[in-house]
Amino acid sequence: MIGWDNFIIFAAVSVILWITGAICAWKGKKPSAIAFTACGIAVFAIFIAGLWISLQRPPMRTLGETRLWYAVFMVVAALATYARWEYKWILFFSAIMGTVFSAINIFMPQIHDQTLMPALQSGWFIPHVTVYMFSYSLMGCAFIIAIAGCIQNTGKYLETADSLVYAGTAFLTFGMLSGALWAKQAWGIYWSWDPKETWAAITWGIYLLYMHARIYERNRHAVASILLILGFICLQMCWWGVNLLPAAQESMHVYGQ
Amino acid sequence: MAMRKTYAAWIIYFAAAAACQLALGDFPARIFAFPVNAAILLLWITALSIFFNEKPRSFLITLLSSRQTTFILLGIFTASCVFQGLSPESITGTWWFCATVLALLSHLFIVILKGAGRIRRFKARFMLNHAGIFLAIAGGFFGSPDTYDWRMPVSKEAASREAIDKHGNISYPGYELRLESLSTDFYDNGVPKNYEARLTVNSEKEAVLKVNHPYRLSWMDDLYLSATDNAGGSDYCVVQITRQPWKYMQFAGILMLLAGSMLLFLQGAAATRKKGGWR
Repeated sequence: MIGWDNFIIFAAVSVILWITGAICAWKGKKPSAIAFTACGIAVFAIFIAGLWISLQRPPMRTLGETRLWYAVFMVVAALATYARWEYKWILFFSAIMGTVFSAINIFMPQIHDQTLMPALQSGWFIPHVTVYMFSYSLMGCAFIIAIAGCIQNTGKYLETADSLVYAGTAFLTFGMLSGALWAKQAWGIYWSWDPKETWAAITWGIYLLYMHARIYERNRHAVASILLILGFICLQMCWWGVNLLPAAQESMHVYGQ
Repeated sequence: MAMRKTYAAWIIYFAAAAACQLALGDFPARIFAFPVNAAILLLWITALSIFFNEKPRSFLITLLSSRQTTFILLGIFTASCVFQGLSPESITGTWWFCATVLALLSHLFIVILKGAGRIRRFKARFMLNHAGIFLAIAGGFFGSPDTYDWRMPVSKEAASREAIDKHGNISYPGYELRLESLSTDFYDNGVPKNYEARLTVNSEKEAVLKVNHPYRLSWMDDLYLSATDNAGGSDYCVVQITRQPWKYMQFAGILMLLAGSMLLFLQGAAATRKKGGWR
């Protein structure tokens, strides 16, 4: 049965396939790049599915488990971006990010048991976490694009960033609202300004600022890029950085590291 | 309107809010309980609608519909949230935060009125997103004085009628609860898997409470299982009672925003690009 003991094998195979795909993309071999990257995603997805079966619950409870989803969704989002806009460097960055998140799970093993506390036993659990992770990965791609634009001192990538941010904000909104509906079921209130919720609102606010800035101030590329970078930083804060704050000790979103 | 005038107006507005905070302490939300909050909401949106129709070029309407206002208010709201996110203290009850939310709602309302009167592509997306945010925030903001969150210790021995709020004040929600049975399922390693409490309400109705499965007692009151004795078989639990008469407004806003976010995904950024702007 697939478990955390096998993760290093699946992660290594996936990373090799992702890097091979990135090299093919760099050399302009689009079909090979797509094929290798998709195979890497499939191997990683098989591990997640196997872990789901062996744990007898969705692997979404701990930070380590959410990193699995982020790693695979990051590569999925980058592959979609590459297939649509053919930026040859994007698979390289997504492969690095996927590798980093896999490596963290290998070198910082955390508690991964089968228990799922009662508050997490809800129909909202899977859509809420997966949609959030997917939106994070889309915003991660937009962040990579903003960095590329800053390095090259150009705003030519921002139209791609717009597409990613619109899709990412749609998923972010769904994640936030599904969380609000779930919070009403579990805690009796849609929104309680818990640290996690507050940072979700901050992240959402920054991406709304970006969208409005792109509508009204289309030529201010630097402002748009800064907002993308700030949004990504706040997103990381919302995901795991919030756990480092003193206020997080009283958070209702602490389910285990 | 000159940009300088817009900035000056918002600086004066937020300075006034800061001065109120210094002079009066936190915003006295409870004095705005129903029917005061409902009356203010109606008067406020009626006044804004009349102003919008009769004086569309007035200073107030021009200020509330300007794009600088969008950036200023979104920026101040996000910055206030950052402050809240880094601080262990809650700032949501301050004059500053209330002023920010009220200004944001006023801006949203005028933007919705302006958008509703225009022929545009992707109008449904625009309306669902903006009206959804408006309803969700307005329901929380105006409904806050009528919102109560109590805890009631409930046992098998005697029916309970007293509930306690987070400040330790005792209230009487108007019904009595008695515990009939309490059970806990465990994983093999001893970690609790699920809790279930069976209660009677006013010695008549039976209510079953589980985590994530509240009991709807009335149109504004819901019961939640807040705490139990993990050992199971106990004759004591704590029931959370939430009273939220404005939750339907928030729920409507959330549904509209969900629909709007789906359209945001389906129609994408190209919709905005082709038009060169929404307004």
